[in-house]
Amino acid sequence: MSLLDVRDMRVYYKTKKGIAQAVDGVSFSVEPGQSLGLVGESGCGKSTMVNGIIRVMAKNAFIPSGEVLFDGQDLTLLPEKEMRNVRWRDLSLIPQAAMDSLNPVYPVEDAFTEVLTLKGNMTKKEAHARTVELFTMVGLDPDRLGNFPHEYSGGMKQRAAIALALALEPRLVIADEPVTALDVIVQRQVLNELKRLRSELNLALIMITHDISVVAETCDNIVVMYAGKVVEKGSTQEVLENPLHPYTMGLENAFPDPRQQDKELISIEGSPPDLVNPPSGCRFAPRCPFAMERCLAEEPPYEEVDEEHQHGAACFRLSETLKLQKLAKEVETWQPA
Amino acid sequence: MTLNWKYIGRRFGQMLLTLWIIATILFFVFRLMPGNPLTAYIDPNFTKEQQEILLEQFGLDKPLFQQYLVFLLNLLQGNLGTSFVYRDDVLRVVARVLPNTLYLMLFSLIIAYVVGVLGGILLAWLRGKKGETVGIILTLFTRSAPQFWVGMLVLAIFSFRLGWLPSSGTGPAGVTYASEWAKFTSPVFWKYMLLPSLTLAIYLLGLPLLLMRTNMVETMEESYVTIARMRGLSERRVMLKYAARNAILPVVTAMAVGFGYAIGGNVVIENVFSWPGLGRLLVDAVTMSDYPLAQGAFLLAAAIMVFMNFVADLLYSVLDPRITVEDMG
Amino acid sequence: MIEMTSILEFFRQDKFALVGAIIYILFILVALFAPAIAPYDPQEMVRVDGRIAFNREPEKNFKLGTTNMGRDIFSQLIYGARPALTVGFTAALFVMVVGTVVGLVSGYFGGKVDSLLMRLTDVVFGIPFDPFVIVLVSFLGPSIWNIVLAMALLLWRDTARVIRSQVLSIKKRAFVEAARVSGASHSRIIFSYIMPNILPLSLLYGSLAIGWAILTEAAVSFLGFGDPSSISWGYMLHDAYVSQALSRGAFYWMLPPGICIMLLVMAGFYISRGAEEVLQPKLRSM
Ligand SMILES: Nc1ncnc2c1ncn2[C@@H]1O[C@H](COP(=O)(O)OP(=O)(O)OP(=O)(O)O)[C@@H](O)[C@H]1O
Ligand code: SF4
Ligand SMILES: [Mg+2]
Repeated sequence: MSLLDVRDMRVYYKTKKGIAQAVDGVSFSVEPGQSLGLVGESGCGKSTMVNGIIRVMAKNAFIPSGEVLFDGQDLTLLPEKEMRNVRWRDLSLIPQAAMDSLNPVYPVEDAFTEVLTLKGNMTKKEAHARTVELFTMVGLDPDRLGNFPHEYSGGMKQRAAIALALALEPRLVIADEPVTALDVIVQRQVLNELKRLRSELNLALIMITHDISVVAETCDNIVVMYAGKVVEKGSTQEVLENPLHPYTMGLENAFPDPRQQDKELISIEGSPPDLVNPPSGCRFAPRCPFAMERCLAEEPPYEEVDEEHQHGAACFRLSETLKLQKLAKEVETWQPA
Repeated sequence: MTLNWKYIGRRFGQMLLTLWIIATILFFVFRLMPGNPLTAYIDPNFTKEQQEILLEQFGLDKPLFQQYLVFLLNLLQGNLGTSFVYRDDVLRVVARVLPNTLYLMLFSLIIAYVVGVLGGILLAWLRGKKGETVGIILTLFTRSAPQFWVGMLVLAIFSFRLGWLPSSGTGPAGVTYASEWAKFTSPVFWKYMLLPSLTLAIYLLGLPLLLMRTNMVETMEESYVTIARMRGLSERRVMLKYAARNAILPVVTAMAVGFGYAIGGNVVIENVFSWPGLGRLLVDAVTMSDYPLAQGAFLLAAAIMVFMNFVADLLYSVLDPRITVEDMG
Repeated sequence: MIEMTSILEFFRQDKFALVGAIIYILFILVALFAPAIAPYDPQEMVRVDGRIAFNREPEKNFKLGTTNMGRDIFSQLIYGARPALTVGFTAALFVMVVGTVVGLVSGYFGGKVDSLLMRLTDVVFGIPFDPFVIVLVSFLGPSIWNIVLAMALLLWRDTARVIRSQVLSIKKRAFVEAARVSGASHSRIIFSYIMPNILPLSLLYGSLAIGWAILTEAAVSFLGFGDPSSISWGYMLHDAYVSQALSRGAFYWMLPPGICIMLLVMAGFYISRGAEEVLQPKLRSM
């Protein structure tokens, strides 16, 4: 059984203009000890998805349908009280805003003590010992436990957030852009740290990012989202080497590849669609260089192409993949007509 | 939360400077204004001798600058002159009523800030619901109603109509308390203080309440609050330890302003309830042209206010670990 | 600058502001047409059948009853709108102008000027307001203009602090930097770049000051330092208080002036920021 099985999940926002379908029918699963990369442009619904899973959402958000099976138990149906027990014990988070995830008026250690005593049923003394252990584990100096968050650098806060997420040894950690706010050198350190911890502790990890190269390095599987929908998923290697969906192809063009130093970066023209009134057919159609008449009218269903790698995509032109992959490498293809 | 002595020292120096400037302004206001106190000092009721003693005591026969120096010297020695009406040392007259003012003020402030902060949290919690609008409109009423008028209505209803609570003073006619402590611990005294302090509290309530609400609404959106929730902490803990604890900081600073209102409010409330305190003394002194007394009472009120500003500043720097010396300018 | 259409638009969008504006307009009309509305001269000791009508409860001739001196309370209430509005508007104007100028100069020029002005503001913050007004009015004589003067001398302090911090943040913005680099004069930068950005804030503090001023005038009059030549609401309440209206339970005398003050002050809150804004007493700089 999968550790986490998200089925046809929808998270909508009530806005002044109408209902924004920020996550619209997303399905994916994570096996115990596995790591999954969730990629997509800014605004495609990654954080919304996470907030929906852990059920701490904006006031105007709601889940019209979908299942979040954690260990076979549907979290969307759990009463709030029981959900509170799941949070952090089974399922923890390295938040996107890790920089200001700590209460500014308490010393950093307080957040650890709180979680360890209240959720981990430890005594104050045990909690302190565990905190020192966690600090050492993520490469922080335990002497700085008593400092206030504002006395930490960005990288230190990020490490503290990682340590805090690991405090209760959850089975699944969701890292929402854990390195985006950091400079490149610290990014590398933190990523390596995460990788090491993951293999040491055998945790399952969902890594959210819009940087494909981060996923390439850290994740077993990958889910590509566009405008609230899954457009492609599969094993990381398969998806990156043999992309099926034009959007994935475009994303790859937009990121530097360490193996191809001279690669020309091409960006996808335009911006993601309005989620209140999304395009009626394929949501990517307005920006897709391969869009056909049919794409504007009908929504392409998700189809699995490679069973072994559980690789599939939602596009009408899956039969022409090789041709499209070739075209997608050309700069002209992506220029507006 | 270590105390920063350098900062405290500097703020203390600034406080003394402010006090000195206020005393100076006061000196010149009282000497130079039309309706000059000089004429008032030479009160026909006084004997020639008394007048001369007075003139000499205040150095009113000397040039203005010299008078100013004498004034400052006297001030440093705690000599604020002699009240015309009470024929007594101003400091002694003022010291007699000062405790009453402080009790009234502090008691009302405590009520106002406790109720205000809790009310603010509640309104933030009720955000978007009907209760919020009702609460806000009610609060606006308390901020718009003249406090003496509220006092009058409260008196007319609870003292005169219902006869539940006494209408004036600090105790029944003829009763004097054996000591400050005896007064402070006497239930009778508290019974007398209830109406005036509640009236004052109603007036003071609006500021902390609205401020707390606004800040809460803001901190509730902070990521550390959302993330605390994601840690599976209880809603109460998230609201109080995370949202409210951070929202309360500016309310503490506002307390400085609150003290200012309290002193102003005190003057009016003390007069409505015939409460023998500093504010009432000041009004009486001004009405009876008892200038030394008026000046002394004013100076003391200013000193309390400046001191409270100082205390609020310190409190803030202790409560907010982010505040550094540089930030505080 | 502010155009008529945008003002209308503002009121259309903001129900609170609209209610506030209507209250103001009503009171202004009442003040202007007081002689036409009020049945009696507010100072007149009204005689009925040759005898002065003391302490009448509300009846047909005296809608709100009469005072212990036989004066018509309703007429006093109508005339009371005049000093309230006069004091409110003039004091608010002073507060706004002084506060804005001090904040602007302090924030814009910085340095020595700034520290000097801010120390001055500290001092003014240390002066207890009501006692100051009382002392000043008792020296200069009981007149509403002296009350206005006292307020003009002290109440600019909040405005100045807030405007200063606003100016500081505007000064840092790119377009001001650009203007400075391209050699624009101080007056040009102030008037064409900074002023338009702080004007809404100073108007806001101005409209809050209206309420303050009205409340202060009422309190000072209540304490017996009011202008005896003009019947204000505070004066009426003073009258009621010293004439045992409380013990007689003469609510017809006590209630109306207080309600009028409250309405007018509340209207100022409403206008100043419509709903949400007044409710956000942001003491940014404090
Ligand atoms: N509270 C909200 N109310 C309305 N719309 C919202 C709300 N929060 C997010 N959205 C919208 O939902 C969409 C998805 O937002 P989300 O934060 O999940 O994106 P994301 O993929 O995490 O982006 P990023 O990479 O920038 O973090 C965006 O279009 C966003 O504007
Ligand atoms: S379905 Fe059509 S529009 Fe959508 S990605 Fe495929 S080709 Fe492009
Ligand atoms: Mg996000």
